[in-house]
Amino acid sequence: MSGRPKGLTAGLLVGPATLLVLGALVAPLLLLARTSLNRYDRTQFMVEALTPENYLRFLVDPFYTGVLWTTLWIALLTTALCLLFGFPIAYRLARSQSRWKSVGVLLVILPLFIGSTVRALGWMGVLGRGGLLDSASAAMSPGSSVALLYTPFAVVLGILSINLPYMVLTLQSVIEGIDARIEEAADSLGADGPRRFLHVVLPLALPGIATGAVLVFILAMNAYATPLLLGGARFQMMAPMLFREYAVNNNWPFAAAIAFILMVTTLTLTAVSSAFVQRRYKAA
Amino acid sequence: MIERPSGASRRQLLGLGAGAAALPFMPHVARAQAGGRVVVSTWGGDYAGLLDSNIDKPLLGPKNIEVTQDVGTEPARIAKLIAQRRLPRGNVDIICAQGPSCFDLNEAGLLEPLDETKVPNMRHVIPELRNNYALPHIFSPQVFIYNHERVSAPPTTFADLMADRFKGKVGLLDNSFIYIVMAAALQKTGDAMNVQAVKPELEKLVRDGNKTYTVTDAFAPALRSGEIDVGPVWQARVIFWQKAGVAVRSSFPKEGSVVYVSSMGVPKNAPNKAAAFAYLNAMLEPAAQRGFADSMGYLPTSTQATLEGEVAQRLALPEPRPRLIAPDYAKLAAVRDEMNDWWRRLLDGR
Repeated sequence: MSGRPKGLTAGLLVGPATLLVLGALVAPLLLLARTSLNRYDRTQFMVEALTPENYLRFLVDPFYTGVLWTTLWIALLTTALCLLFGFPIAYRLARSQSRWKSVGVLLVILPLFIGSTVRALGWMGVLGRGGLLDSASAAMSPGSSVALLYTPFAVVLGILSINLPYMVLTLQSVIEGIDARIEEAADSLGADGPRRFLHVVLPLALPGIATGAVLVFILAMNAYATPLLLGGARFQMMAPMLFREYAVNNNWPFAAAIAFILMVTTLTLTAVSSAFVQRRYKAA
Repeated sequence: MIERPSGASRRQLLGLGAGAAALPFMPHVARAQAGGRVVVSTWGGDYAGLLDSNIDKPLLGPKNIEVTQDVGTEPARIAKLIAQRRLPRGNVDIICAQGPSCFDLNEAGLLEPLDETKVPNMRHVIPELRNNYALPHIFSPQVFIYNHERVSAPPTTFADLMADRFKGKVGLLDNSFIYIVMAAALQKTGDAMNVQAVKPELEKLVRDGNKTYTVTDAFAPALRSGEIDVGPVWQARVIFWQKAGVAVRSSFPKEGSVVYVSSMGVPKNAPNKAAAFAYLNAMLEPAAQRGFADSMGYLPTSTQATLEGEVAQRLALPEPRPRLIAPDYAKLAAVRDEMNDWWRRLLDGR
């Protein structure tokens, strides 16, 4: 009987990784869950308790749910834009036979070498008062001024520029896996460009699109430096709010509750979209 | 420096980690005779550098007191102090924190009472800033900063910031909003702690399209570019930006100035209290105090530390001398959480 030793070997191989995940991910999450049920006290810091009040405080207050909605729509919008701008670039790179292809890939990867904070500061120089766009507008029509910094537009632009490479790289590898001859077959059977894209390329690329979308959606939901620097004090998203509760107000229980709400929202949406895509993919 | 937002930089975290890792190996020698090692929990950056060059090396070195800095943001360091409150022996001898935080720590029963037998130089502390749980190290009054190329008639009272001529051109610092509220309350009611009374005015000020900044350093570029023309900030900041060549000047509110105070206290479970008291005494020495005035533009808290020459000119208070008002920290503590919540919602505008 070779069944048992095989299972044992598999168990031994999976064991270390499982232990690592349990120790480095699950245990801290359990600790965080416990913290989120404690009570905050300004002088004592954290009082042991088992109370749902931190969650209720968030969920019944339109201010906090509003911040969650803002985060959601920013994340969804940037994901859609990443897809819209990322797909053509990825397709062009994937199908390119040119010797410049590697240069193109390098150009996509290059921004990832610079931290998001530094890039946000770069955008501040472009969008801010007296910045590149403002100066250009003032030069063209004196007296005019373009105030784009500290707006939702600046935040979307900032997150888009950070997340786009992830989308392009994911899509490129998937499109490269689609046999070019299938597209040629569609051509030879008389499909025009849009038809070929909608009925051949898109369904085949769907798993890649889903993976890329999930990746950039999660990144956008958790964006910290970009909304803080480009959105300013009046624009609130979840990660900066979480950080303020944790590191400025020292309210760890409430910060832990916010972290869980953010995590559950992100994971639920990701799971729902994956299930949806899988069903579509099977149907296709 | 001090008003910097609380994002812990990598360097600060590394410093904190290194400090924490080294702590178990340190000799905890608490003798009546000061000596040994003293751990100072402090902000990083210029402040930490100036502690080193004005206090640690010149004043404590000769006394054989070795200083170790535990660098981090204020909330993180306070969280650490609270977390180790039940330990008979902690790992911090001196905590540097803003006035309101020191008050909170004392309310929580964490700070050692101080008097002149422990810290002889305490008798020279400016009376208005004196208390028995934390000694003021440096302070700075709130002034109106303005771009003198665009503003010909500077604001002279907080009410001027609400006037039409500055509409949309007032800058507000998110991280010191509570001091802005106190300044508005002082102007409207004569009592800086009457903060509830000025909510309508501040709501108008924020909704009038005036700008709010999360990062203190974003203020200077905004003043330079014309995004804003005026705003309430600490005098020390004005001096700092003037040194950096920004075209700004400042004016004092005629109703008086609320002051920012940076203090130092000794935790009750400090491992080396004798050295901690010696540190506090050295911190109040005129030479140490002048060092901070010269480099950072903060005013000395010791009446003995008179300023001379160019520094004295730069930091001179106008005549007649403006009223300097230290916040009533007890009243502040009672309303701070509620005000914090109000301010966040006001900024959000939802």
